[in-house]
Amino acid sequence: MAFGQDLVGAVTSQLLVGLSRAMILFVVSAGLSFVLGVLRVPNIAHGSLYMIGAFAAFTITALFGQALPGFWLALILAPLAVAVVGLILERALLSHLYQREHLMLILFTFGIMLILNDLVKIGWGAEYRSIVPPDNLTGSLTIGDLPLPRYNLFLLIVGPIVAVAMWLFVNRTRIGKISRAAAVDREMVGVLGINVSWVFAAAFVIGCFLAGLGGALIAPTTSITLGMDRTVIMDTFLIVTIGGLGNIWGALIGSLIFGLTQSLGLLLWPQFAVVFPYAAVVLVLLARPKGLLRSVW
Amino acid sequence: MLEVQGIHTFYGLSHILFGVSLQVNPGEVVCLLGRNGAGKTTTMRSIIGLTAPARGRILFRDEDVTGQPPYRLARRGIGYVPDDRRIFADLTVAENLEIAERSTNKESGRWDKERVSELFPVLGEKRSRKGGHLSGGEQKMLAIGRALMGNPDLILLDEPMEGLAPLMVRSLEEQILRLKATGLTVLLSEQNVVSAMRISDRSYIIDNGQICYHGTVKELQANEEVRKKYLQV
Repeated sequence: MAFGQDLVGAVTSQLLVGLSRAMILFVVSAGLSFVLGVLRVPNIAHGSLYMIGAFAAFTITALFGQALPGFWLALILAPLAVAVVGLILERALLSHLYQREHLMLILFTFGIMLILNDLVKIGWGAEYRSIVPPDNLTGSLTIGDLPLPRYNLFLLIVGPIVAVAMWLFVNRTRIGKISRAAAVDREMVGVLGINVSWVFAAAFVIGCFLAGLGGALIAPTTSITLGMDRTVIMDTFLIVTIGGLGNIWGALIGSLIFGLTQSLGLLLWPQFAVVFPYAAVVLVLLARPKGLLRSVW
Repeated sequence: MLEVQGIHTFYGLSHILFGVSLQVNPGEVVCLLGRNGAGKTTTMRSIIGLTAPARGRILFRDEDVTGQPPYRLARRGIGYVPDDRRIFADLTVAENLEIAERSTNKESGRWDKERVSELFPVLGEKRSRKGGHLSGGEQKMLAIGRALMGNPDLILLDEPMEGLAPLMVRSLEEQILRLKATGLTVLLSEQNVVSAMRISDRSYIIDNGQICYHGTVKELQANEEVRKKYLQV
């Protein structure tokens, strides 16, 4: 009996960990997927923007206090700061390169990733940083007999909010509709009197905002350090690929697969837990090489 | 309204247009006739700025607009309906129209979704249908409606009758004439010579990237030699 309860407890808490991990992955991969869909740019530097979001969250909480104003301000200002970095990158560099082939764009954004990395190293140094969320998000909430970490529950609220916000943006706003049209036929959008260049800038900035938001959200759960960009860019690219390139819902499903296989795999076979998400990716791609949902490519 | 002066246009290294000149006056329907591959579509694309001419000039309302990007030309009042329609397949009919909507300070009735549905009732009936799920003829109407939403003064119709059933051709002719009656200027390219001559005031014939004839439709109807030589009718 006691063993059964332990198992239920372990599975539930791992589910929660997996789901909350999935929510952060979703926020980041939604941005990556949006940029991939509308601009057709595979942005390798997306992970670096996520890292900058985490470091910016650290600095903002350090400036305004760990507890009340600091963390919430960080959650708003860090993504905005990353969005500004994105706007500069897009206007100054990327906007001149849209005609190039994908391989060139990969090389270009890879170069940006290296540069941003060094800039982060210069700005924040190579030490580990960490932040503490405000009191009402620390500790656990006991439901039944199970202690559920409050921050993880918070992530479970944020993820769906981002998903709904993205859905409303893409389907209910004029610029969202234009970006869907531009994803398929940018030339024709221009013929309608729309300056596609600014649509692309807006789409890129939104993608960067989401990368920054993901970085700010993960900051209290991990050590903020150089190199956190590498893992996330790998994972989110795989997520976007299994979900269907450019499909926001695909990014959500991919993130859930990724987060849950990892956390439940930990229960099943702890030594090989890292392998499960990648095995899932292989299985999905074998069954559906173009991804689970419809790709806009 | 529109004056094309000796434009030369290239696709990469291949020279497509060799000094094409034509003129469209306000309120006219002018047709550009010619065989497949004669340069009709390239002429249209040059005017709207999708394939900028390497030489020559394009004047719109007496202003030189050569080399301007398509969105600027659209904002100046040129609408374009491509021969392959290029409907946004993932967007609904209503969304296709909405994103093309542009405000204007013209007094003479501005175009909105309702007015487009009056002209093409089927677009009103299928407003929440995805653009990709329409028939070819319906997509053609949607492409025209979408161009109208920008409140153009001049509309370029590239082969609007292509692939339409005879009954549809007749009804589209009527609608183009209704547009003309609202004061819209039309330049259309067509292979369907009979249909084009029914609705046009003047015509140009293009062959091998050069204008080889122009005159009123009456003159063209009387000139059997030219029609035989270039149009096989």
